[in-house]
Amino acid sequence: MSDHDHTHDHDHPPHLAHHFDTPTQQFESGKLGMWVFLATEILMFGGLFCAYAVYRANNPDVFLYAHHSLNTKLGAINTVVLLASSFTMAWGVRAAQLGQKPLLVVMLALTFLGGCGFMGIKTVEYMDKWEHAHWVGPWNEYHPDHQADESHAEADFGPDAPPENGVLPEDHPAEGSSEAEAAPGMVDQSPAPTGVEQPDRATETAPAPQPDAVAARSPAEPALPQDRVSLIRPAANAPAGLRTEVVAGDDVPVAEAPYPSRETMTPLDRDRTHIFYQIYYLMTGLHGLHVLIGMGLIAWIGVRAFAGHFGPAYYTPVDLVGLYWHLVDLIWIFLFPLLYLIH
Amino acid sequence: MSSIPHNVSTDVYGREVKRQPGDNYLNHSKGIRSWLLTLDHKRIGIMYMIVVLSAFLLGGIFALMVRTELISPGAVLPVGDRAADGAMTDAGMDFYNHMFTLHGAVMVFMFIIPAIPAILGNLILPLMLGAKDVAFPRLNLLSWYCYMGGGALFVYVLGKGVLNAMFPEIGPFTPDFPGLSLFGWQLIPAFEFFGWWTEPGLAGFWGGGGLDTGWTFYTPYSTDTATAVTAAVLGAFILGFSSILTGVNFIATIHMLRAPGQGWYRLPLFLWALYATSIIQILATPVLAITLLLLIAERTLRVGIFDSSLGGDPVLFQHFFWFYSHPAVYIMILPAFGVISEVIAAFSRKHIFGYKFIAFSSVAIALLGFLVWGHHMFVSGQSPVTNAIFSLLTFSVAVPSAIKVFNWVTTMYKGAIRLDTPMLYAIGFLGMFLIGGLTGLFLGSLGTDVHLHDTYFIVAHFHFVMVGSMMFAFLAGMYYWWPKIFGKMYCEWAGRMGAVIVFIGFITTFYIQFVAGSQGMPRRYATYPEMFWTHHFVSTIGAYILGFGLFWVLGTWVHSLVKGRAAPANPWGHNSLEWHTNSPPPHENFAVTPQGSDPYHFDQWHYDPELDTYVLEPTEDQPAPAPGAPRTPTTA
Amino acid sequence: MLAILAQNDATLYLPAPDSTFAGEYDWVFYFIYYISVFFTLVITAAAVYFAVKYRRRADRTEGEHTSTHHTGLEMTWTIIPLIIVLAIFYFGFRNFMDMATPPGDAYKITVNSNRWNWTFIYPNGAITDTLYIPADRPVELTLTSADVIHSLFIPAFRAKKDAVPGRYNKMWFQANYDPDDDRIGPVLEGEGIDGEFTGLTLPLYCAEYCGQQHSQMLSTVVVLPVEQFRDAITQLAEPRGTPAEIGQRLTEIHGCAQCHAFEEADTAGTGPALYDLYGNPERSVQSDGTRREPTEEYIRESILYSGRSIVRGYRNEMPSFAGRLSDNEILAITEYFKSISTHYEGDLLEHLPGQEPAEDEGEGEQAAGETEPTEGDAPPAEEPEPADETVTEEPQ
Ligand code: HEA
Ligand code: HEA
Ligand code: CUA
Ligand SMILES: [Cu+2]
Repeated sequence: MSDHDHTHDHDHPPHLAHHFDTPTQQFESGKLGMWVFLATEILMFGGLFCAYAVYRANNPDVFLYAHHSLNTKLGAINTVVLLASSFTMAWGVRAAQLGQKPLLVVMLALTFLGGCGFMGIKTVEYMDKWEHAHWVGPWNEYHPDHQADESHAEADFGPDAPPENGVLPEDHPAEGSSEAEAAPGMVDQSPAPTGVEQPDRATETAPAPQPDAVAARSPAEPALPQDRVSLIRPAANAPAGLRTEVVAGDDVPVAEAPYPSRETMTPLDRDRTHIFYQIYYLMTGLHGLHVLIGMGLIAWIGVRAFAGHFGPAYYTPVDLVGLYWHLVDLIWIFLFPLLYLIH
Repeated sequence: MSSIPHNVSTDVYGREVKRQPGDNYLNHSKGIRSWLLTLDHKRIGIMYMIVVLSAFLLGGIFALMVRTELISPGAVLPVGDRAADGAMTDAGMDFYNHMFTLHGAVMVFMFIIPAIPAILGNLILPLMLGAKDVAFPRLNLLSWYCYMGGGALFVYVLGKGVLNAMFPEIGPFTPDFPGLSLFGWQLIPAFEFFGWWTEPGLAGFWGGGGLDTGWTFYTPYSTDTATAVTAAVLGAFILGFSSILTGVNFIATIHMLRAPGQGWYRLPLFLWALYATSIIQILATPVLAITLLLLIAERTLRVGIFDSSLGGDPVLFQHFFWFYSHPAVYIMILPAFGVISEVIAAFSRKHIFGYKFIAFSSVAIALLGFLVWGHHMFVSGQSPVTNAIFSLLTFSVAVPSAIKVFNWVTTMYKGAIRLDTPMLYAIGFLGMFLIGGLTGLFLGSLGTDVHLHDTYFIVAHFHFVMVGSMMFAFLAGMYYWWPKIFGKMYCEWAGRMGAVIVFIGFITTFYIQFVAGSQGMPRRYATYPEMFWTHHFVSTIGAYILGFGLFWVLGTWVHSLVKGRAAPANPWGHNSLEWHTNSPPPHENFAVTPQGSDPYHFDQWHYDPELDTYVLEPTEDQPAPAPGAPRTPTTA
Repeated sequence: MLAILAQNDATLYLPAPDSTFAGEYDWVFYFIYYISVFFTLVITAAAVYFAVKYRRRADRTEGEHTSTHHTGLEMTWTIIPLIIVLAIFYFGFRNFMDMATPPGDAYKITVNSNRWNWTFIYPNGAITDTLYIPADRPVELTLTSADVIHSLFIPAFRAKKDAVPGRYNKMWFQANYDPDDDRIGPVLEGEGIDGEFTGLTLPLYCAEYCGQQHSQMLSTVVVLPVEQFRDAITQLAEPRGTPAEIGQRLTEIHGCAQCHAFEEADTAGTGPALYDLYGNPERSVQSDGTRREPTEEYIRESILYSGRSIVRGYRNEMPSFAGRLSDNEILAITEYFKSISTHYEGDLLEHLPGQEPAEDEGEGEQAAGETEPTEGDAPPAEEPEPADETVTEEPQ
């Protein structure tokens, strides 16, 4: 805040907007605004981190298993690339403050190249996933709706798509035992909750009938008809977060065998494996989008720097874009271990 | 009163303002471009006012359709083929579902969230600070365009729904329909070749038309319905950005652009309220954004994060949604608190009581509001422990709200109260917020919520806090700042009359819904058992009265614009800085940067019966500048 | 409906309390209510009183300079509401814990929901679309959903719980039953079971928005004295009638008519009409234009994997019934479809006798048989006896 009156008469530095009193005030405002904006960015990613935490906590094995298909080496290289570009960005800001225009331009160019490198490597990774049918949505072999045998899918995944395609016959007894349709690869297009309409799971694990309820009543009260087992799948097979609701006496083993092996996966875990990929794509995709935006911004200030707009008196945009770029970097620093380095 | 020439405005010293072209922001420049590309916060505020009020009208029309359908249990609105027995047809029920969804979505995302911050906040906040503009005028304009973009998508959803209803043969109604479609229109007919494009992903992208998910977009229904969820969600997403930009702007402005002498504790309470609101906007809205993105991904790519049949968890969506939407209810009510603080002080002609408690209770509500979202999910199967924690935290929010109410009433004590229109709305607000807030206690309490959840009790609760409280405060603020904004007075008796009609209509519409709800009437019902007929009938009649009252209100405003007497600089004698400049303010707000002082210290303003306004007495150390010199002098 | 209006203990705000925890519920409700009324009245009265007493019309004097803050006062109205809300929390919490903890010996009913229909499955295999419960016995419901979220709401019991796909939420209640209650009337008429039954009929709603017919996803709870309940539910578990009749009953239980027309006069149009379907390819033109012969296989596939065969002009809306209908039940439903199709040549009566003996057994499985392992366990008809014995052996 300034303490002197603001009139229009006193000299106005060229970059000072009319409603600010001093360049410092303007610079501070911009910086504050940027920090606040970065807070919103962090919260936006925070939502995805929460989703990640929930699903990882509920399906630790799935995450452990699926992360093996990520290319840690490329991820690590990307981390280094991004860190280096953050460094050149910081150097660029310094150059702007000191009025070293050529250095600033070079540094911005290097940062931009870093962004290109990152996106390039990311593309290689994505292509690889695509080829192995580890892609997003139903184009993921673990997705219940995945269609490997359709013409377009063949074109998509190429002839070398994994033969198993996600469905292990022995885990999936045909749904109505006489039905050929229940064979691997068939898709039920209706939204099909994992719950009741999969009798295979219900019957596999249904606990013995429990006449317990009747037992405790007083003799005066007639018993109620009780004999049948309900259709409800035992809660042990329910999402892990819900296992608190286990029916009394339920002794169904939860898959805790040492992962990972496709063969030992429970059908439930296999159905969930695609979730890891979905989260992977959402997180890295949103992050990649931010990298692209950041690259656009860097290109923009690069051009302005080349035109000599910045100097010790005015370098706010460089500083703000720098902040943004560091945030993009920071988010990757979290993404990398969370996605690539699961133990 | 009658001695004042009709069209003469006076400055803060009661001297006539010689009107010249370009002397205020309204006529500063001309032409549509000077509005659409303006960076002036006041003009952006006016543009917001126009579109947000239109949205309100739209939402209100939906509300009246909802109420009309509910006037009797059978089919009322002429939709689809009529069943012989007057029972509701499938088409009729679909129509109803679209109506209440669009009503809720339009009202929440397009009216109530932007109403006070984006209209009144934009117009008044820099004036109150003694600043020339908000910190980032370009972002401010961008935020308006975001609003327009999001609003356009909503209008598209609505329009497509209407088209679909009228010409069912156009456009794909079902996601199974293959072919390339954009904006729901069939661009390329079904070729096998394009199968991959539509199946199973993008077909459901834009969906059909209309929206029938309820404003809460609960999965899996929202991932499943054939209506235009994606477009609507994208609209809400963009509207969210508009809200974020406003929040960023306000925070930076309040921090950086206060006038000299305007310390934090000299901020009018409206600014404290806006500050707290902005905190919520920037912290909660991004989470909504990511939630909506996930929902879009869910619909287009079937990623399954919220779909139990794909291994996901539908309740997670509710957590995400309410993590935003509960704080959002405080985005709605906090600015209203701010308005009420100003109005009650001004019309009691007394210093506000307990300034710091009111100021900090706003911030407390903003922060605590982040911890209570789970109270919307007490019966969704959350563990009892989680429920208990959320319930306890919910009650903690009630306490700062209570503090405010008590402080307002104490402010009135021994005041010199004038019952002008804004004050009538403010008193109405007190009563309605009491009822709305206290019924929140029924809902926050675990046991009682089980029965009341998703009944009309909830509907009544949130209309009391959103319509009875927030909308009343909005109207109070509109009337209160109207003279400043447009430089015209409104017709006082008509304003009061409007307040009375709106009040009566409101109570009739919504009080009885508490009774219906606690008797068991579930919400979002197109038809209902006959035992609730009386309740609904009364409610519908009330809604018509309320609708009439609001049109009356609109009438008073139009009348003021056309025929209103020119407004003086400070008709109410409030001391916050926006009253230290002419009405309407000049382009850059103040000719001379004003000095901040205690905004609730009214003594230096004296009533001038001749002019029917409050004027500053020039004093020894603050002589009035020569007439004709800068229009707005500095005050100590 | 009239009976509901004439309830005994209904108050202005709440319907008559018909479950054990409803009494406490009402108490908590009115506890909060009176606190609210008190504060509303006192504060509004103060505001209005001040507004009248200190009102200025013509003269525009300033308000009195009373103090602008008073920490003691502020603390008072911070702490008093705090104490009050803590009390409210406590009572609400206690009430909720009652609602959340079913006693171990509750009678367990499974509730399956789909758009827009409730299915209640009793431990003995009976399936109904009305919830029959024994009086004065704790009943525990396990809820789930086949499609979107629904919520089972019984206002008279003050009970509500969401039915979430993929989750198994539990709720419980114990119905009060007063034989002198004038709301009690004859029930279970038209169900085709022997005996006269009287019970208390109460409304049951779906409280979570679930789409088009959310407002018609209504049912009723019927509270029966325990003996009558046992009798009724045992009989309901027994199959009755021809396969076609059983099939018809199954379509009623599962609410097929919500979406499908079963005769020409029906207006339901969410899904394709089912009369004249069997053997009539006009009815089964697919969305891709192909024709499928509406055979047993087609019907079966449409029931179990509804998304695979979408009839032209309709949306893929139907939930899968895999796991909810046994093979035998699907056979019965197919028989019913045949019986309402003019394209079905065979004489139904001639068709049956040859299978008469097998048919009886089949029926036994049809209504009851849900899961493989238990299907052979015990014929439902024999259940009551062992159950009775259990009780007589029981001490206390
Ligand atoms: C402006 C919006 C607004 C505001 C301010 C509030 C305020 C509050 N709300 Fe409300 N609420 C909504 C909008 C709002 N709500 C909406 C839109 C929904 C439904 C959404 C949907 O499902 O569609 C909802 C739903 C809702 C629920 C979920 C119900 C359910 O679905 O089952 C709950 C539960 O706890 C709740 C509680 C509260 C509480 C405790 C407050 C408190 O902040 C109120 C505090 C105020 C007071 C307590 C009054 C003042 C106090 C005194 C004068 C002193 C005396 C006080 C005491 C003795 C404590 N609200
Ligand atoms: C700000 C929010 C807001 C506002 C103002 C309103 C206003 C009204 N609402 Fe709404 N309502 C919601 C938010 C709001 N509502 C939400 C969030 C839901 C939940 C939706 C869901 O379940 O998903 C809901 C649901 C809802 C229902 C329940 C539907 C159901 O569950 O089945 C009902 C039923 O009566 C209803 C009625 C009304 C009525 C009669 C008004 C009246 O007050 C409307 C009167 C307004 C007018 C008639 C317009 C007048 C406007 C002008 C003339 C324009 C210019 C204006 C001025 C100059 C002032 N609303
Ligand atoms: Cu089922 Cu609403
Ligand atoms: Cu809330």
